[in-house]
Amino acid sequence: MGAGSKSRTLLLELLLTVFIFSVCMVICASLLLAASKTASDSRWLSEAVFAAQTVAESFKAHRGDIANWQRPQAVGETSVFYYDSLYFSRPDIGDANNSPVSVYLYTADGVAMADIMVLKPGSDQVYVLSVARLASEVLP
Amino acid sequence: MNKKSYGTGAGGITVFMVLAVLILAVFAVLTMSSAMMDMRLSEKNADMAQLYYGLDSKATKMLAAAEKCWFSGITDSGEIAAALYKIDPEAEIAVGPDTHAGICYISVTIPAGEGRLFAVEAYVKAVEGSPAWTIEKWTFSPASFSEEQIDTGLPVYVIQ
Repeated sequence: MGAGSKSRTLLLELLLTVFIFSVCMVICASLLLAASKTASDSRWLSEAVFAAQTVAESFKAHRGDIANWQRPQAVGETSVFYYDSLYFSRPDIGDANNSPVSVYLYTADGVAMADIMVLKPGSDQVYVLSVARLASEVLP
Repeated sequence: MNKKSYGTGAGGITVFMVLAVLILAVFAVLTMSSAMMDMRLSEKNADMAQLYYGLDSKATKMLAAAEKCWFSGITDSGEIAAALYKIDPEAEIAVGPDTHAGICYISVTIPAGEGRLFAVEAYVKAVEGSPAWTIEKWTFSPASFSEEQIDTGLPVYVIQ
């Protein structure tokens, strides 16, 4: 009887240990998953900033001339660019691995403006940058 | 006859479990903390880029306003400065029109918060009938250190 009682106690303790261990593992796993998502978002934001700055400096350097930009997908008021992880433009349309960069061009009060939006594929996250150039210096 | 105890069976497992959970929890917290710090740095860089290009756009709009005034025949420095103050009332603006040389000098310093300044010095003149700007200064910098902030404990120079 003593041995049986001890076995039951041992079994109970083991079950309790496994249960507590499982709960703690779930909590740790969720923390790690959250950290992974945060790191992924951080990486996308850094890349988005680089892509937006690249387009902004291209706009200023090429004096607003769209034809000299890096192969946009549409020409007109709205030009769409696709960048890969190395910030080289990719003419592929609908490539889910690229972050589409949309550029909206307009002129106001003698200033040529470019509103640059970097969209995260599969998400509603967006990074926006606005850059200006004197309209008198923009190529027609 | 002495009975031997069961030794450290269940107790050993419990100790192992506690140690394993402790180690994994510490790693998880460290990972999360590191990821959050990376995110904060990325957000700071993103905000700084937006701040810089926002100031760059504001300065460009000021040059466009000065250009519009100058080439529409307005040569009074007060009127030109008033047009620039409409864009940013907190900026320090100096206008130096030179009607003889046909040149209009503009000096603008835009406060960017936390002691940062965006400074522009440029002049415009007509070249073949079109406005041509020459930019002499286009900088984004922290405010100069005050004398009290300079630490002279080490033999280094502070470039202002």
